Amino acid sequence: MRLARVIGNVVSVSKHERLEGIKLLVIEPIEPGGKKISKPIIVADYLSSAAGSLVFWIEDGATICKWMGKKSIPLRGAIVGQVDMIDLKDKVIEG
Amino acid sequence: MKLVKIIGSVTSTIKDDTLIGFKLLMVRTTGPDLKDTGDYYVAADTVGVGEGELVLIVTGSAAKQTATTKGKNIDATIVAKVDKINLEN
Repeated sequence: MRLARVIGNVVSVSKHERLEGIKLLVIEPIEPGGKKISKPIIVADYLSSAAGSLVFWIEDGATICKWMGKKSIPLRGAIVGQVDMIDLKDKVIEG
Repeated sequence: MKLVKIIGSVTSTIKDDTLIGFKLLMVRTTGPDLKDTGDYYVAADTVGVGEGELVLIVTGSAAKQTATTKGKNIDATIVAKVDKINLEN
C-alpha cells in the first residue's frame, strides 16, 4: 500500500458502465513527512474518505475487481484504509 | 522483492475489512549499501518485525501469495527479516 493525501473528488456523468456507483477521488502520493512524491492520481474509494484525509491505497487492479465482486473494471487504484496515526521514531503524524 | 527498513507503524480504524488484524508498518526502500532510495510503502507484517529492522517486502499481486494474506486487499507484504547481506566487495 502507498500513502497519499486526498485532495478532491471527480464527478462524471458519462462513464463506463462498470464504473457506475464508484466514488472517485483525486489523491496526491506523499512521503510520511508530507512531501509530494508524484503527480495526483484518481482512485476508487469505499470508505467515505474526504478531502484532506490521509489514506493508504493499493495499486493492484485485480484486487479491486475481487473486492467489488466484478470480473473486470477499467480501474487501477483504490483506497483501502484511512490513517489515524503514523508513529515514526522521532515524530508522530496524525491523519 | 524489495529491501526496506521499517521506519514506523501505521494505525488505522477505518479500513477495508480484509485488513483487520494485520500489523501495518511504514517502510522506506534502501539499497544493499543501506542508503535510502526514497520510496515508501505501507506494508502488512506476516513475520513479526519491529522498527529499525531491515526486511524484505513483496509488492503487487505477489503480496497475496502468503498463507495469511491470501485473498486480502494487500499489495505490499513483509515476508522476511534480513540477517546479513554478503556482497562480493
